[in-house]
Amino acid sequence: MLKSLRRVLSVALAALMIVTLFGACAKDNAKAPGETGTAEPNGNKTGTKTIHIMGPESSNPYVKFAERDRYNSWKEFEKLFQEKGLTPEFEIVATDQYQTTLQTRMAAGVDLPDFLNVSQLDDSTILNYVDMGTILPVNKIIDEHSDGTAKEFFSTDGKGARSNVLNTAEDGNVYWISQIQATTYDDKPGSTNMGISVRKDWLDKLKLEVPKTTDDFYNMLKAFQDQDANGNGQPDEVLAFDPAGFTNGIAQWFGLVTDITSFVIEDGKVVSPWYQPGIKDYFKYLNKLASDGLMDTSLIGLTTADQLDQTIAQNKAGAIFTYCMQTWYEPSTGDPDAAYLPIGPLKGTDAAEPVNAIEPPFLSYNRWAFTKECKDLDAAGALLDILCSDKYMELTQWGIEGETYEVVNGEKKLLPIALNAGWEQAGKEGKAIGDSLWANGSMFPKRRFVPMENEISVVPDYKAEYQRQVIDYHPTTPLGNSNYFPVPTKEQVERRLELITDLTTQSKQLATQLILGQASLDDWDAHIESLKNLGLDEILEIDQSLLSRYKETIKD
Amino acid sequence: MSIKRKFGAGDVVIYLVMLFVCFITLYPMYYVFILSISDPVAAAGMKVYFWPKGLYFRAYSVLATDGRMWRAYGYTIFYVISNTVLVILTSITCAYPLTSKKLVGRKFVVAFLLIPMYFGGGLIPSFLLISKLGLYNTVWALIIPSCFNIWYIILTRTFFAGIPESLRESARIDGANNFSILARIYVPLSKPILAVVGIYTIVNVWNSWFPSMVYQPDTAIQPLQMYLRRVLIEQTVDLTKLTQAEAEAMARLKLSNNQLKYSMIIFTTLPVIFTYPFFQKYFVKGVMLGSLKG
Repeated sequence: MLKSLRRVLSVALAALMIVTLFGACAKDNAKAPGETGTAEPNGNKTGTKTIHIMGPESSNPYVKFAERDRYNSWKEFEKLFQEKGLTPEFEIVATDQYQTTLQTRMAAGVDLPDFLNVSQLDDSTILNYVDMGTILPVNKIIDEHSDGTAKEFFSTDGKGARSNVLNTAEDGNVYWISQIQATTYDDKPGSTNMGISVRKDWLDKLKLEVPKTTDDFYNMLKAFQDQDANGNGQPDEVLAFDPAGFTNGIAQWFGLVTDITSFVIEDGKVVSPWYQPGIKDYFKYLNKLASDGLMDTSLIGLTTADQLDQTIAQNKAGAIFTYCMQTWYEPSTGDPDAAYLPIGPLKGTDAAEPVNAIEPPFLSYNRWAFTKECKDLDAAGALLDILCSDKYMELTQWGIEGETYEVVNGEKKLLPIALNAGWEQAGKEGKAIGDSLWANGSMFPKRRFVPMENEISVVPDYKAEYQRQVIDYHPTTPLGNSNYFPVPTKEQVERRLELITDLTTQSKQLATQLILGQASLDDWDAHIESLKNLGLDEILEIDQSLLSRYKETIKD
Repeated sequence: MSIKRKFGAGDVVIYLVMLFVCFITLYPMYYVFILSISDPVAAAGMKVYFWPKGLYFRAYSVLATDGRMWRAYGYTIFYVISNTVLVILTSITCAYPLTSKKLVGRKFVVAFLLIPMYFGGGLIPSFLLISKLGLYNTVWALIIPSCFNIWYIILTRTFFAGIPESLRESARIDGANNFSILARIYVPLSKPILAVVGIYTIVNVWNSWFPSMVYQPDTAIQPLQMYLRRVLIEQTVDLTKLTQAEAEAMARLKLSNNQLKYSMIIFTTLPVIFTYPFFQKYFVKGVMLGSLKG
């Protein structure tokens, strides 16, 4: 009996193994709402075109694309698909995992969706996929399969013209579309900026004036320490920022541009901070701050933001580098009276005018592309027409009237629930604009042409006042060059890749040594020579050619 | 008559060193625990050293009511149990034939097993294989590829080789076949090695996250370590590299998640800590495996 029992058991085990093998081959698409990582059909109807779309889940902590059916703005967006006879199937991948999923699937060339967010691929990789035919030219889809909406949007006079120029490759084709954010103030292009913000509550407590010069700033930091502004009995109040790179606020006081190569917008010439006239005074100033213990030198060369967050959380940061209208650092200090007041740009040197580091008024960034798996190009054209339509723009930037925006004196105004501070409420009530729900760097590109007046109206008065004043400040330098540099040629991409890592490392290392006094300004020529040997001039040439190409096409 | 050993200066030094080693081993775990129950502002400001400051259990209550965390927990237990059972099964069934000198082509089989230990196809060929087999985005992507471990097969084979051949011969004389010999003689005698293989598999699978990241975009079936990784990753974003809207989104997420990461770490390590003592007695035998003969 035991023998037959063993036989039965062996057969059962073998059968189980075979059954599980077939089970593994079946893909289960019937997931509950809110599950990510599977293709979710959006109401498949007979006779409609299906398009498979993949993207990362929104990084918004409260408003999730996987829960889109709860939002009225999504229901309105769905109607656009229905009008075009399009059935989208969504594959939502967790944000932290998206890059891995994207890279492996693109490299393997299997399980590719029709349309996906490819922002996390660098220039070199994406141009390789273009060469391999993995990514389709968007301009050809528009020319042959659009009903005219997308064509008009990307035409010379269209709202997407600038983005189109930036995305045009060497061969004249456009291989991806980007999200567009154009900010205005008083009906003119307007930008927010990043700079140094200081503890306004400490200034008030110690009866200090707002710094107007770099000497005032130095004295302010000294007073914060000497008079124990944070009240913990320790002279630990510091300037908390990372000056290893040049995007730090104080570099701009000395007229320095924001990256190892960048440009002053009014000038149009690509330069390196290392060649600019204010550079030596900049290092002298920072060296003085470091030597006198007024700067947290442990933050130099940060690779993660944890340490900076810790310094702020310990209520030690008397000054930080951030967006001028930020409101998210104050709660983390643990001090209910904490208030960061933006200042500057202060004049750091007679050799140069201070520059203001701005988020460009016209942003075109991130990338969405069609892959070779997209066989139905009519569906692709229909999707592009949807993403370029006025209704899509309205739903993305404004949402639903009465729910997320109101019309006041003929002007649209976002309601508090639709602004950044209202995300939690938006998530609870199911009222969100498309920018939060599907366009926050996730499934679809945003189209945001919103006046800055909306955001200025909800920040504290002292930040709003500063923003209004600084908006007309010139000269300016952009935070990041990508909004002024079109798609490089393959040779430029490869050459830049070969040079930039070592050059950036050397630049940061040298900056750190000069600030800490480990390298001398007397050896300046040798320092510059080391950067030239690593290809600084060549990078300048490449970047200048890109900027010139952009300026030839876009006449501001 | 009991012999009393003198407690000398050397013993004092040894005790002090061992206390120091215990402290530096245990303190990080204790530190994470007291951070997880301290007030978030005190924790973020690194004001907690030896005792919790301002008891705060909200992070645990958030976790306890987080369905996603419990689902990840459930799937992790499923992966651990299935992998452990399958690894032990494959180790036993592959190791046993290799101990028989009569196995035709034994040297070839051993070489066939050893080569993949040193050479692999890499990530993309593995991805292609998993994808073509239809395992992509399924639970089986974390079970089938890892249920066969060559190192454990060799370990088990080495242990089996230490069992006297005479036991097998006498069993044969008594009429036992290979299945009976394996099930009734080899397996009962192999508890130490099976415990070692088991606990190593449990720990490896429990801590594993990379295969899930590559083969499972569906968060519904991901293990606990992926969930923990997600919480930790969200804390390390450099806000100055983002646009203002993105920076604000990430800053709000960081604030709300700050305390969660410590509680998550405790949640994910507790089961392994509780499991180890049950396998403790086998480790002594396992450590000496193959070192002494006769």
